Amino acid sequence: MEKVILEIHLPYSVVSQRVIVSSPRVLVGRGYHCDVILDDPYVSEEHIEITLTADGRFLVADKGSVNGVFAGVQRIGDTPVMIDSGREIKIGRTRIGLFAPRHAIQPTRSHDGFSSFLRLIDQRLVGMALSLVAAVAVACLFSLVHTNEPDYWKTDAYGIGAGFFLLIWVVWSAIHLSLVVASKKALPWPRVISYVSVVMLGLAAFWILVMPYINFYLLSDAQIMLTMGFLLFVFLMISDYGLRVVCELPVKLPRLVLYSALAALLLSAASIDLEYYGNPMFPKMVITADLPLADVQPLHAFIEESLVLTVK
Amino acid sequence: MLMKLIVPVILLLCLYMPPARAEDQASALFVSSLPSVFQIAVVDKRSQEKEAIGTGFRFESGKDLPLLGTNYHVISDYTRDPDNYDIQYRTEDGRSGLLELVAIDVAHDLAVLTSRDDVFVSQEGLHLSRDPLSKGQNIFAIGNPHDKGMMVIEGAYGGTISNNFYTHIIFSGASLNPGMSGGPAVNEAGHVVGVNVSIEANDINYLVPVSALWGLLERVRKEGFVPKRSSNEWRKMVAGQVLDRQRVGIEGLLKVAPEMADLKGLTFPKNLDPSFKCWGGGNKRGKEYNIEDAWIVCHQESDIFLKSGLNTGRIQYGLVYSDGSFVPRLGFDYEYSDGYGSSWLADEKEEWDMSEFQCESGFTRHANDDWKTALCTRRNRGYPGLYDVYFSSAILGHAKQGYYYKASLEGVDRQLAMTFLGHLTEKIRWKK
Repeated sequence: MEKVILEIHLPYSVVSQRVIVSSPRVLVGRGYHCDVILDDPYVSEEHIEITLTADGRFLVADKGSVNGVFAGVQRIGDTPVMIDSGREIKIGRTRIGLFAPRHAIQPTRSHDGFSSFLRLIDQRLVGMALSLVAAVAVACLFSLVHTNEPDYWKTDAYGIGAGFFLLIWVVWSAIHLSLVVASKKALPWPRVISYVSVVMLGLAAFWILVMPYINFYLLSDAQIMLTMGFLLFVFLMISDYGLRVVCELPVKLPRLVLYSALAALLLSAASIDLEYYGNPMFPKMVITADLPLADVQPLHAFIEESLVLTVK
Repeated sequence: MLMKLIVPVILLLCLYMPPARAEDQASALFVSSLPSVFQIAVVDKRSQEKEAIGTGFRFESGKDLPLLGTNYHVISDYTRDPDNYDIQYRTEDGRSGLLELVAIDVAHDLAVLTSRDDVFVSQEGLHLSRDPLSKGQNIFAIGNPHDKGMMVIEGAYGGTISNNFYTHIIFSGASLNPGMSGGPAVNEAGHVVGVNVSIEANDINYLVPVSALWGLLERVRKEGFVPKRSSNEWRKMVAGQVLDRQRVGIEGLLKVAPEMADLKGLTFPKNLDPSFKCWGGGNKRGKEYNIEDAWIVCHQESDIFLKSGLNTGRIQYGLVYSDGSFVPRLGFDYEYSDGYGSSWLADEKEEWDMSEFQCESGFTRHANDDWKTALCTRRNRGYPGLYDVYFSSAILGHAKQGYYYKASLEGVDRQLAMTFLGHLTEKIRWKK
């Protein structure tokens, strides 16, 4: 029995409907006599006719519609056009994916460690617990930055923890929305919250525990900018790759150009000097641990050289 | 018998005889000096309204070039824009006219003006004293405070502060009010011993010794009177005078052996010279702080007025020790970095007066230790050649222990900054 499978994306709808017509020939339009009836005001009464051919492809013919038929950006004219199974056409504001019954599919995924891991982080308790642990851990990390305040745990710690917890949810909602819009995928919140909590905790830990050692060696604005740009780029790559894996989205080639552009954009925005600083701004981080130093100058030589460089 | 009665009576009478009252003396001096004292106003040509007021006085000088003395800060607006400002005088009886600027001495806040108007040509002017002052001696400051009319304020000579950077006479008594700036301070004989300085914004009150005016007159005599100098010329002159003053001051520092302080094993010059005042303090570990520290900071109390809202010339330096034995090392490093990077010695200035600081950072070797050091410079936009230099250096390799020292120099050039920083850092050593 030949049949045609249509995946219909109605305008402004997040989810798609799958319609199976048990006939090799399907009439699509707004009229009630059609095989598939679309509630789209830009679709004509009889808009197209789709015919499944013997080789599993489709012949699409415009039935004299007002707004035409599009395969990609190409408008299908008076002569019918062959469309491969799995491709999409557009009529009015509705997109229709065409599938033959023997359309090739991805091999079945077997349950493995990763899938049970995903099932674990899909649990609400895990998501909530991870986000809370991350918030507490960040409050602990910040106690290092506020070393000189004995009452840190009575005052600032709560604000920092709560702020970080809220931030996790803000980032979650952004990711959730983008997944829904771009990938038509609404994942259970605990999974994405767990991921966001771990990534942001990692970022905070890196920033507080590792970054000072990097900053210690950065002596000029140019070095700082380049290093920050590189780190931002690496962070974007890693976090995006992780998100794709966790959300079971197809892992595409790393979007090098996009991330470099994004990193460069953020950096250039940060480097715009909008305000006049009356105070001297120089790389401030000092580490008192015994670290190897490069290029140690006698003090008087440094003063002499710097006075020449800074007087312009 | 009669004599026995008369003598005690005479003695008693003598005791009760009222002494010559100071008020009488003041009013007599006031009356005799008044014809030589004028209100000085810098008037905006566009609005014909005064922008700055002060006092000036005619003093002994040749009749071909009758001279008036006042403060530089009274007429500083004129030097920045001579085309749009006039300097005017007003007498007590309401006469007024224009004055011309002859010379300035920014370091001593002095200016000399001239005019060929009758009121100046027809008088000798006040005598400039050449006698040394003695402590407690009465001084009478004459001026026109707040545009309320001429008055005299009686005070006493409270000593002289003299160092390589400036010489000020302390006027003890009622404080001088703005508007009296540039007025003469005379001794009991009516001779000028100093020039009043009162800057409202800085809350400064002192007298510039008359000897500084002698120095300026000497220069006028040598250079002659050049009429109608441009703003560029005046500002170049100002910058040059500031640099000269700083050069003399800093070179003077090299000659004195300062008293050394010891801050947790590191030696530190306490007062490089008497123009510096040092302060110390610290925090103990307790309810407010986890890290203990101790600091000593020395700064000059007087600086140079360049224009309204912009002073320069001040030198400051300080050393801080902090001890974080009770906290994690990285936590201490955060706090230590904040101290090293903070700019509590650099005075904030306006964007239109100074450029932003340009900084260089590096690792340096000094006192047998490694340090992280930064040096920053900003340019004075209005007075070419004047720079502010900021220096900060923090010791490395002593876990949970830190020393950092800073210095801020205003109104210097490269050479002066180097001389000073070289001299300062030479003194900061480990105590043997």
